Amino acid sequence: MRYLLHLVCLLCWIAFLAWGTSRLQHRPKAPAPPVGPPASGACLTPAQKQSTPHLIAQREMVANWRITAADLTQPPPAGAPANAEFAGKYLACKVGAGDPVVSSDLRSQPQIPLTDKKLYLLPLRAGEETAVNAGTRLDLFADATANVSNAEVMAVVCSSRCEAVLQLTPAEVELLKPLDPSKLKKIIR
Amino acid sequence: MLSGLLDSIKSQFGGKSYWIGSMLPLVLFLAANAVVLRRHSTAIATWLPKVDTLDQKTLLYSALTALLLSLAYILSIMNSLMLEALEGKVGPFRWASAPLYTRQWHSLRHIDQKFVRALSRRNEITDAHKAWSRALRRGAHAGQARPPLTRAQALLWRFRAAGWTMALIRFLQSHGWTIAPKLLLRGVGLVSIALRQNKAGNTGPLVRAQADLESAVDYAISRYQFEIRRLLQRRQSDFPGVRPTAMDQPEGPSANSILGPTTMGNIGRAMTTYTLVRYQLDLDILWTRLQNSLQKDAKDYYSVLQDSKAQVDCAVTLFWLSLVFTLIWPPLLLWLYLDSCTVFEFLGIGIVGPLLVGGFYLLACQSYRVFADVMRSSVDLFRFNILQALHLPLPVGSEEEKDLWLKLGIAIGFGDKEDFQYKHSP
Repeated sequence: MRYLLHLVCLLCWIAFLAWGTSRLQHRPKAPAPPVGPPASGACLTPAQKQSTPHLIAQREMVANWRITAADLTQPPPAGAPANAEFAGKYLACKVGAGDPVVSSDLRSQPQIPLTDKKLYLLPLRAGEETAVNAGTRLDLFADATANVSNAEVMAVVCSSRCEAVLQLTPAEVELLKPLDPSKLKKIIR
Repeated sequence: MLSGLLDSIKSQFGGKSYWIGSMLPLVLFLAANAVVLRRHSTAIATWLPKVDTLDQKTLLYSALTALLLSLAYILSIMNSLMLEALEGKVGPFRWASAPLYTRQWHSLRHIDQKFVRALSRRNEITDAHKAWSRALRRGAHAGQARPPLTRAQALLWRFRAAGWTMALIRFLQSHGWTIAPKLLLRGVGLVSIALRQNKAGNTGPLVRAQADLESAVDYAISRYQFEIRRLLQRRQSDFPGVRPTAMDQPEGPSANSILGPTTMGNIGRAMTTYTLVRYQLDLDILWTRLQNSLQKDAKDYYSVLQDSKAQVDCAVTLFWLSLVFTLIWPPLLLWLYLDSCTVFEFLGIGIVGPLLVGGFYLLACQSYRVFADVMRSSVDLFRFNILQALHLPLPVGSEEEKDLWLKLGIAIGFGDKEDFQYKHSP
């Protein structure tokens, strides 16, 4: 009797916590956020690709790699697609050296996952697009010391000229703002 | 009434009591809310990192600081209201006053019953003390001609009734607990019989039992005396009025012993009834006059009073803000942030929150006890300063003083016609 009110309050609170816990445990599960590429279905394994027309990767290539004709070779049997059909397209999945590359591995535009960093377009001089591609890391210099170090290239996009898409911190972008990007010197790591 | 007037003890805006009593609890409350919000609200999570990069951040910081200072000031104005709510004079504790009052009544009755029991047991042991010592001495004397305990009897002593009774008495004494007179009486009876049957000698269980029993009787008297004082002090600090069996009962019906619904309320009432019972001085009427005298003539003491009040305000504000936090967030997490909330977080707030609320309530009670004692002491020490300030002559004796305070309270507080002889300094 002495602790009646306290007991009633305590029991109500325990009942509320139990109800809340049960509600949290039985809530509908939210869909998992998409993790990287590809957009259309999962990546095929090399064994799965063997049965479809394919080319062979000459080197290891990461997602969003811009393919050139030199990156691929024809497999021994005939009937494989021409290298030119794949050139200029982007890989949706990572591919190891010697692995088959099929048309479902490709997409026409790169897909860059959103992060808290900012994207920066760095103009490339003619021919630099052969050396710089997705996954490359660059140091950028306006003078003797690097203004930005170890910047990751997310993709290389080309129209009339090619540009590297870099992912930088807001502070690094602020550093580069007053500089002319076409005059920046690039060192590939 | 008095708790509302106590707000006048606080210093002005920006003083110690403002920072400790209002700003500190508010900052802690806002920080706790920001931590939870940052986890769940994407708007807050994205806005917070951007604050530093905003163009007009100086303006924003200034506005936030002004808002914080204003909120803290509003909170400091509400301190007396929050204290009264915790005392059960307004708000939720008043609405639930009937069941809360029951608990306070049971607690008070429990203290009074324990006091009466401790008093009667102490008197019982004190009365029997000499007779018990005599019985033990006689037993020892009668056993001088008897053979001592054999080795086997000494080994088996603890399994005999006298042996385990003594073990129980030693256990109670070594743990600082009270020893009932019945147990001591049983121990004296059994040990004196054992002493009659066997020679005690200089060593062995019999002589140890005799010595320990005499020491336990002395200890039991002291322990009950300590208990009586502890209960008296607790009653005086935690409950209004005087105990029903007290010799110094006020004559006729008195409103002094009416309980409040909460512990805080009773501590507050104990403060006013203390001065009413002892001096017939009504603090509800005369506190602001006494405060004026303290501010003028006892600045150091007044700053101690201010510090104590700031601690009370801090604990009371922390109690209410933690209660708001605990009652708001668990339902809000289920309602608005069901997807992002984890069971651990929900239960964490649901379990730690009430523990914090309870802890802050105990802290508030403890600091209010200290403050109430400082207040009582201020009346004991400085009450005559009110008479000097009012140009009234000092009373000659304690009874005359009670009459004077009663007349003064009636005249000032209720406007009754009373005649006073003034004493003007030359």
